[in-house]
Amino acid sequence: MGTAVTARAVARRQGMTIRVAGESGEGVITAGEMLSWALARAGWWVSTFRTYPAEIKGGPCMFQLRVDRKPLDTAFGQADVLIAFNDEAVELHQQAVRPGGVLLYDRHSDGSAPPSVRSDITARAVPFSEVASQQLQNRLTKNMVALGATYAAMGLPLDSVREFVARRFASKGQAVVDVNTRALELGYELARVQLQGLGPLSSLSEAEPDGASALARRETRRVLLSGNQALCLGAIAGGCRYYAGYPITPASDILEFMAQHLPAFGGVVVQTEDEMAALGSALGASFGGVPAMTATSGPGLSLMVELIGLAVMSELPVVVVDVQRAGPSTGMPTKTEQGDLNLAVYAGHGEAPRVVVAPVSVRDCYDVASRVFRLAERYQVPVVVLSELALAQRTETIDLPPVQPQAPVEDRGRLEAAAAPNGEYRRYLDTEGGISWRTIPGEPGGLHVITGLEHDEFGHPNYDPDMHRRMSEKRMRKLERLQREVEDNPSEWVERFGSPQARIGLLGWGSTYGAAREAARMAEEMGVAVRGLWVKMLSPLPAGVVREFLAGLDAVVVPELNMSGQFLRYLRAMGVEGPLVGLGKQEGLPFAPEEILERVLEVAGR
Amino acid sequence: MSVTAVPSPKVAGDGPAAQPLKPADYKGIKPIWCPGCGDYGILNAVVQVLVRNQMDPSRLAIVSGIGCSGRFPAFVRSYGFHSVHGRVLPVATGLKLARPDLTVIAVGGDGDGLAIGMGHLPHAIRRNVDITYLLFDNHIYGLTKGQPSPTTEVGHTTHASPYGVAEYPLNPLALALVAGATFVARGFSSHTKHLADVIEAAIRHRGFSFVQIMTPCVTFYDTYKVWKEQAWEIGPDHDPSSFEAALRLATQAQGLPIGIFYRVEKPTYLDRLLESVKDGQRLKEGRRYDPGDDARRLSALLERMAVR
Repeated sequence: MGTAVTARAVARRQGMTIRVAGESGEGVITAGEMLSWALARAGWWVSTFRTYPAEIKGGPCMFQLRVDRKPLDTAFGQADVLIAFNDEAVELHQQAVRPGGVLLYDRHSDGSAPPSVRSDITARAVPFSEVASQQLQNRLTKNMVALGATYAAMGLPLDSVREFVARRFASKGQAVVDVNTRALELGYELARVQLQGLGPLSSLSEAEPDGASALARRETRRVLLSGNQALCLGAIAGGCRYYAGYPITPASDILEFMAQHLPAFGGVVVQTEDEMAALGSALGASFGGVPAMTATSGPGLSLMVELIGLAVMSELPVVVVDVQRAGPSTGMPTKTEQGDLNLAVYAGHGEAPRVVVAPVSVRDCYDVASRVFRLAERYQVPVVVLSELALAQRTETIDLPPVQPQAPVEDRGRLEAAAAPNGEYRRYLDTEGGISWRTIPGEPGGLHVITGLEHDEFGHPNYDPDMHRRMSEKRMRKLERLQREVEDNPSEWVERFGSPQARIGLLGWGSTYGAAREAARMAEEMGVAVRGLWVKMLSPLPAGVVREFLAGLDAVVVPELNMSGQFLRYLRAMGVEGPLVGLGKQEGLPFAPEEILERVLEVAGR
Repeated sequence: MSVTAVPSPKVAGDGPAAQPLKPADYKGIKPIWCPGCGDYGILNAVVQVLVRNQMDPSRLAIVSGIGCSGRFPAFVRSYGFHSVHGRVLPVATGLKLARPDLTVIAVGGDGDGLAIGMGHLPHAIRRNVDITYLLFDNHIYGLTKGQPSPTTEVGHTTHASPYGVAEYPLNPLALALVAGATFVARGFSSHTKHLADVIEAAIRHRGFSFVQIMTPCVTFYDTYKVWKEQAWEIGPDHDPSSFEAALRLATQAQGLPIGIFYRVEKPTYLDRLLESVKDGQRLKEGRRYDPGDDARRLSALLERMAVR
């Protein structure tokens, strides 16, 4: 990245970005989560990012946290402060600290040479380990010492962190709560003496969170959620009442959340023996009339492909969540990627039209998940929700979402096509919009057998050339209709940002939205107007909306976390023409806003 | 291939009938199996059970995989789901867990259930979901024209095993027993009345019931003669509550014993779920949607997670 770009970008930043780094097992994530929670509780808007190894112990681990007075789009990017738990973390992460930033690192207790540090950042050795092992005889509390020190350096009161420590360790007994609280306090004392007035670290204490009155802040109810949690809550609100899943990073916590909470809403959860069983059983539940979901990651979606075809052919609603991670094969289980678009849109043999949607933020995970069950039920199709590790595991403060739970089932197509003209029930009655009346077991009037074989209107296997063409058209027609509906009323399925008059565009999908929106703001401040469109309905693609967006643009950057430009190619395959410029990243990490900004400035000739 | 389309059930006239239902009332479209196929015997036995119990066709769901057995649901007048190869047990499991009020029967062949779908069998057994699994075992892949299956005898020659099958056959009953099945039985399509009794007991069993049904393939592996000679009905001297006796019978008996090998009662998956979940009232009542209660619960959940 050009240093000029970086310097200009940094100048406009507000709030603070803190990165905690160390080895897996050192408590990096725990410290980061506590810091986020405490700051969120104090009224700051928080956004976080984490990256960790696939192994449970060992390997580099990082938690980045950004706080501000206003809602944040992304936590990824340069840090103001780096808290390093060991020398390797100093080495790996100091490049991510902005010039003028601060580094707090663990002081060597054996007198060995300290790690070498860039000259343009302020580094302080703090005895995290020493305090933990000598004063508390518990090396594991190093992260709490560091957390306390950080909090003191920020000039913030310790109360809310203390509260979270008590909550977090409550299940482990009072002794654990006590030693961690003590570590926190020792770290706090340490920093009060050593670390006062350290540049950017103290910036928060001078500011009021929120920029609003204390009263207004008290009335704002907020929740700090991960994308996966938001998605689960949205699914429950949207009517999901059966969940089946097989453990896989980074989707396992969806299974865990649903197992914990769905039964209270009258829903059943099963951990199946594999992903085929997960989707198979979800289809069984759906056949029984119960809205069903499964969640997995790329390898699991690969295994589910045949059953997605079955859902299309038998016209069963179902929701399949793919929390993408870096592939192919086992790939990098704990790293992010937008590599499954092709799979989600095209997977399967034969012509198998399905719906594919992609949320763009944590809040959007809630909204999208709350809508997809109705969509699946209405069109009697599988809906694939493409989330990503970077979206699923990042946490964000959001205002409590509106709670309007709804049963997704309206009429199962009955209003559309109750019966054939002679009064017969036909499961696959070939209607104008392609939607037929779906009865469920227990309804006396509508006995039928559904099948993955091509079939006639009754569902009886039928291999006539004309029938195959007709039924293929019927299944396709449902999506054409959905496409028209989205194009006529796209507000729920696209996000827009920037200036309508702009000549430069940003076009994308999924988790890159936040970084792109921030890049657009940065560009705007540098005098380059940008407008952006993030498409949340990927299949059927509302191509008309995209074309309209492209009108008048001289260049459009399409950032994607993959190498081949899957979305760019897909747009072109769907007949979207325009001055599209790809921007790929295949590193297992999200975009920093600066990376997108750089390409925007480049195409703008700046 | 063409299928004779018989008229589908009318919108009116289904459901619990005023008149006793006759075999014809449970017949779906005309079967397309080879003349002489053992599967006709199974179909007749199932229809007998349905008539005997006057079961409501609308509350019965038959799920199948792929193979000659896969078409079974269409031949019975009920709700049916002809799914994909090997996935019959997951589909049936999901259906029953979502709709405990239904009678769910899963059907599949030895290829479907013991080869491509084998991974699901022990887990369906472990869950002890209240479904009945009828394994149509003809020791061959019939629909793909005669390749060896997981139960084909060693040395048997087919086009795909021209020098004789080199693998040892599985013992489905022993497998089901050691996996912990609560109901394990075997029937023979030629002993239709006996088979109907076995299937009826399986359906009445509360929990996962496994029935291996010997059903000869007249076209690709005609075992009628051998099995008719070998088959013998298990008598009252066998104690179906004894696991050891069942395993002995499944592994050491001479000939082809048919009947109930093992039967014990254990809580089902749903029983255990209802017993253990913190707040299972809605689940117990089958009350999936309740706008007021849903909103209250969801708000409470969000409040618990709120930071401020």
